[in-house]
Amino acid sequence: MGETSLAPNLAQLSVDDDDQELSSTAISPSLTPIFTLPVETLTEIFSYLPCHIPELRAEHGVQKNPRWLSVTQVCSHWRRVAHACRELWVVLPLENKHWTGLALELSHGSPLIVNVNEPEGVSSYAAVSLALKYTQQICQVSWVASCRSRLNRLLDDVGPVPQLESFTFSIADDEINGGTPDLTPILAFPVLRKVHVRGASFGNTRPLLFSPTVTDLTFIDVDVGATLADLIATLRGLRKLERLILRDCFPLEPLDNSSPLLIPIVLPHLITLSLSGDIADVSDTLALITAPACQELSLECICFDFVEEAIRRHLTSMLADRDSSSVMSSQNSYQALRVLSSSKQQTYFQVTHPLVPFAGLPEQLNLILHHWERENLEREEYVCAALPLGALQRLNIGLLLFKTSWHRVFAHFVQLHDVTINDDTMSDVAATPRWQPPSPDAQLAVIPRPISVVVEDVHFLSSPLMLGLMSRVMESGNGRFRSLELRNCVISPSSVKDLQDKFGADVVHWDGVSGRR
Amino acid sequence: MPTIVSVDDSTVPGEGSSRLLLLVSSDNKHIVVEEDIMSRSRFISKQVEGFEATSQRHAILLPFSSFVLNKVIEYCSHYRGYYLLEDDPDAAPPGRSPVREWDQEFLDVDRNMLLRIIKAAHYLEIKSLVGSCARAIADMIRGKTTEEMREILGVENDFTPEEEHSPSSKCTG
Repeated sequence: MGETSLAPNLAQLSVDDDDQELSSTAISPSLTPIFTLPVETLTEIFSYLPCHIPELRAEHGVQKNPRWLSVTQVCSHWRRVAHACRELWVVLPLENKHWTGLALELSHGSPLIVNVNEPEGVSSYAAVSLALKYTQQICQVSWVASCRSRLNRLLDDVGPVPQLESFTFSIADDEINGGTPDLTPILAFPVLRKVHVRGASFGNTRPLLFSPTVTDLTFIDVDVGATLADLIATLRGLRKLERLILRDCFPLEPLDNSSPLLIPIVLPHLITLSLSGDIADVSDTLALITAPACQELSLECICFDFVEEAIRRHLTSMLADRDSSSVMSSQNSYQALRVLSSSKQQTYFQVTHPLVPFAGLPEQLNLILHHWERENLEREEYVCAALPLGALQRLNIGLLLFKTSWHRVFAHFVQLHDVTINDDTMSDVAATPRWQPPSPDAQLAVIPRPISVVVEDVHFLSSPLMLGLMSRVMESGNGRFRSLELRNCVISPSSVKDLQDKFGADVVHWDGVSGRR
Repeated sequence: MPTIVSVDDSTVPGEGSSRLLLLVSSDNKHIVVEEDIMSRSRFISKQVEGFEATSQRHAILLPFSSFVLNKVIEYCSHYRGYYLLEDDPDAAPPGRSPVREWDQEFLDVDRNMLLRIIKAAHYLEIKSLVGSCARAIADMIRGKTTEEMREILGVENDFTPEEEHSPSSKCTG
């Protein structure tokens, strides 16, 4: 194998031999493996350390020090690298003013994130208010407060925060007598887009009405004292809302015969509406929200006994009468229905399956099935049993884990012809989702007569995989297949070209921008 | 420094259309690997481009052991043909890439091995592997005290007591 000719050159190589490295720790710290890493590699390691996404479930253990900044005290080399690593300083440490000042200096003007999770003592409020007051760079605040009333003081103490885009507020414990906060401080944030409130009564949500920039609103574990009228009044002012999540906020005080008549609100830009709770009647809420652009309705762990009729009414009437000009008819323009489930609800679902209420829905419905539990063997039987056999024409699947194959499920939908394979984008690294490389070729091979396939948000595509998928689809489509659409997938342009060369540019459509974000 | 040596044609299998590379590790092990597998490495790709300018065949000498090299090849083989955004030189720098489950298992190795792999990945310019290793190392030390970090990664404290507790001080060491 030519070793003779290589030998002289090998001898000249300057290498950091691994065996030498292994034994070098006792000789000199500068030769330890970690010390020999290139600076840019060490910088990349450090960039993963800050806790960008705080744990909102407050705990009583108080962490006094920003642990990720301990890297500055390990050795002089690490300190030099850490001081130059901008990403390490964008999460503003508020434990003491020395750290804060250092971060302000070393973040070099980058947008800053403030995470405060300090249920004990008063420093939580002091830290947040001081940071907001004196640091114009802050774009995101996540605050687990120890006392509800502290939120109310914020506006008076801080004044406008010009760049704050995201505000998350939650209560540390089950405090009862801490006063009821309102959302007045939101008025101090003129470019606020995202509001996330957890565990607090939103007794006065009216300030939201004066924050028309808000596009993303989440309420989680909000006290049950709030009324539906409060909620609807608040939402009425949020004309730009694109994403509304209400989780474990129910039951809001139910409407009864003595309640004043509430006029449905129109949220023209709403794309996602998610309602979830253990046992809740969301019928009234759902009936009062009109979202003509809504593409995704998510109902999770909800008592479907209550919601059944509302859902039926919404979906069936709108889909049957899309051209109607009345407000109520536009209420049902959902293009997709997402049904999620949770393992903690298994017992409940064994009694009433979530899909049963949807049996008989129009075949135009694009059914989205995501995140089903692998362990629950009965689920696939439910799918087949609940849907009108043969009627379903469009199906969107993703992260859907049946223990057995898809074959048995698909075999029931003889008219299924439009399929979307959707693998949710995992932007939230901290959530560490279960990553399941999709095998779309295996799934689609059994669809009787596919006409079109959309592959969406899949970050793990290869040219051979897609070629295999297409070959099988073309075979099983009996010549009817006409379209493959790639949306927001990470796939190389050359792979797309391979597909288009083989199957035709009129068949393979690519949005052309994803994969190069 | 260049790490290419000339070899005879006979030393490299894969005559004809089959594109094979000869990689030589620091412990003088010769590993033949398909060029396609290693195309994820910008370093290798640049070397191969250099080859094409001449009629000579070459071996690529690498400054790490065959044990490490085989791990890198295993990684590249697993993702052969897959498009990973981090490895596209024309793509904008990606944000935080998703955690790949296979990578987590692949990198479930001891500290020294992990550090060797990340060094090799850096040398070979395989950004996706550097990122996965960096995340794994960060996971090892996240939330740890200074002392624990030193112990985990074998770092010696070279601070004076004053320097150590003054994180803003510029280091002279």
